[in-house]
Amino acid sequence: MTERIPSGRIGEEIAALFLRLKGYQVIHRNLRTRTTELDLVATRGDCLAFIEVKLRGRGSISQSIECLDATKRRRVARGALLFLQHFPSLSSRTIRFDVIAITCTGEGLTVDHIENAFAAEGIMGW
Amino acid sequence: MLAKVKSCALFGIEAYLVEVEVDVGRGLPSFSTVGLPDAAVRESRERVVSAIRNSGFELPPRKIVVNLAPADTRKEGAGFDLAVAVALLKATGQVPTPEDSSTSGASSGAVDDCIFVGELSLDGKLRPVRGVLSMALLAKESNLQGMIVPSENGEEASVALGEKVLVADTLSDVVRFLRGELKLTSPGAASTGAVLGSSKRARLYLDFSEVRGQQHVKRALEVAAAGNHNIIMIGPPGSGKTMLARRVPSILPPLTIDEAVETTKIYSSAGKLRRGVALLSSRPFRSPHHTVSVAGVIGGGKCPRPGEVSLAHNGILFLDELPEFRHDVLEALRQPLEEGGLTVSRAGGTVTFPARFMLIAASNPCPCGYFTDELKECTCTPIQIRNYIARLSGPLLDRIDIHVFAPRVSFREISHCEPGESSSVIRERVLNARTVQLKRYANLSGVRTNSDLGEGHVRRFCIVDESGLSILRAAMERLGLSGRAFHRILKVARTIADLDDAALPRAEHVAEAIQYRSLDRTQF
Repeated sequence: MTERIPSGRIGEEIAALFLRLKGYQVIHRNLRTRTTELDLVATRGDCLAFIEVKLRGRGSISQSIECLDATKRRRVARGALLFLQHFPSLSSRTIRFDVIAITCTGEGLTVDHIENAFAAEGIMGW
Repeated sequence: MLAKVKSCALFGIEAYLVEVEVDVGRGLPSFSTVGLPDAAVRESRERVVSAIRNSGFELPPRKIVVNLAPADTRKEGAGFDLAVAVALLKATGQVPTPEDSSTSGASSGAVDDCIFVGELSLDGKLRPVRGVLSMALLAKESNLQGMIVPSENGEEASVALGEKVLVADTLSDVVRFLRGELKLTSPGAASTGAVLGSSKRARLYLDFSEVRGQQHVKRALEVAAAGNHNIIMIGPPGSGKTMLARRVPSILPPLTIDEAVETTKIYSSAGKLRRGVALLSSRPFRSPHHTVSVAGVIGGGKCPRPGEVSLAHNGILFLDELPEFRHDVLEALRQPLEEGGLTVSRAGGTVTFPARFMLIAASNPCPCGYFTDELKECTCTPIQIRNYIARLSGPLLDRIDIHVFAPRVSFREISHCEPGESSSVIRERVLNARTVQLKRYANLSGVRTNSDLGEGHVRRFCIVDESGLSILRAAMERLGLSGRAFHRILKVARTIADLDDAALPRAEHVAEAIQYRSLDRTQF
């Protein structure tokens, strides 16, 4: 377990709040091991969502979405696999990988929730 | 949920059935394709996913597995896109499956036995694919209910399947059809005969009347066309060899329907069928450049594709400047010349391509081109000339029945105003000779023309009278002709006799045939 930089924490807080407003139940936060990483795990109805939160300031070069490269996607997917091994009861649900992109502009925050943003790929044995 | 849809893949020029199975299950969302897909097939998931979303359908976050059965054959091409998309929509319940067809009524029962072929674009439009004719023939053979193809491929498919072919422009059209909301049209029962007939009138050939002089070369080409003999023309630059060769298709008999289907299959699977052409109506004329590689001539690729010899199937393969071709290319021509087909083995498998063509070759007599010319002096050394011709000789030349010299055209001939004999007149004679041959060889399988005759057949069909034999004897002794040349001469004499409507080759026919063996003469 490592210490996170504060801005990431803030982003996670915002995303969790946002999800709660959308009717999700956030069941886990910031689950990480050496090779995997899950920012948020939330459920709503039949759905189990693994959510990656991306926070970007105004002056940043790239869009939040573009920051999620193949390596990062693999880390999340591996994390999801590990999570399901610990909580097998949840594995019968519809599983999704989401991205919540938070962009800071002068006027405020823009939160973008991309459902089913990517598929699990490139993990060993897949 | 599991869904199955039938589709087709191409191997060589033949199609085989592929069952596209899609399983949509629980688990981490993913999309994988199994069944030995090549790059284009694996990439199909991106096209399929985008096309489904952009056509207004949904793709739930599920574990999706696409299996292309039989799983042990390497799949190539983008033709599965439509089948995968339809199977995926079936598996997710957006298209009625056979179980609920009883409730939805419509034509779902028939659709279950239907082949789906087509490439998808990202916006859901259907793009044409290669080899649809072969696939339609397969569908006909295996008695399938029908076939849904992109509009551009419609006519091609209907040549084999007629009204069972349905065309669609977009994925959503197909889905609406499967739901019974829309009726897809058939491209119309364009019967093969009608297709052949309609395009026959429109075609424009070069005509033999445009060539001045070279009467004896024209005659030799006529003989070659009548008996489907291979021919080589030797002459200085500018004597009209290429011009003459390009006009040979105009005197060949029209393609029969079977031949047209065979040749179109090859073109279709090579992706060389022009848009809007359902069936080739004229004999192909291929003239590869002399830098062509072996793979280009005989066919190649990981999953072998037809080469020039196969593209010239039932037509003409014209090799201009024959000695300039690479040695291995000329050697590779041996098997197709002998057997009318060839077998190509590559990593992806072994494919047999048909390649029954008439070879027309043109060559200069020496590197500078003016050896034997009356006006210009040849600047080549004797060794150069010998080496040049030596490249031609050997097994390849053995398979060429007619050798003819095309000398320089004189001023008198070229300035002559009267046009020569037109192609249609020559064609008439060729057609008559071919009819005679077809009748004579009706009960011999594999023999259609005199050039197809084997050694035993020659003895049976090419009986020469006493005066003819004495000319042959003299020729063999004086010109030093080989035993093989003897058989070639008899076959060509048979063709000349057929052109003359003679029951058996007579002395004058044999004499003409002998002069078509100029390269066999020892002095050259």
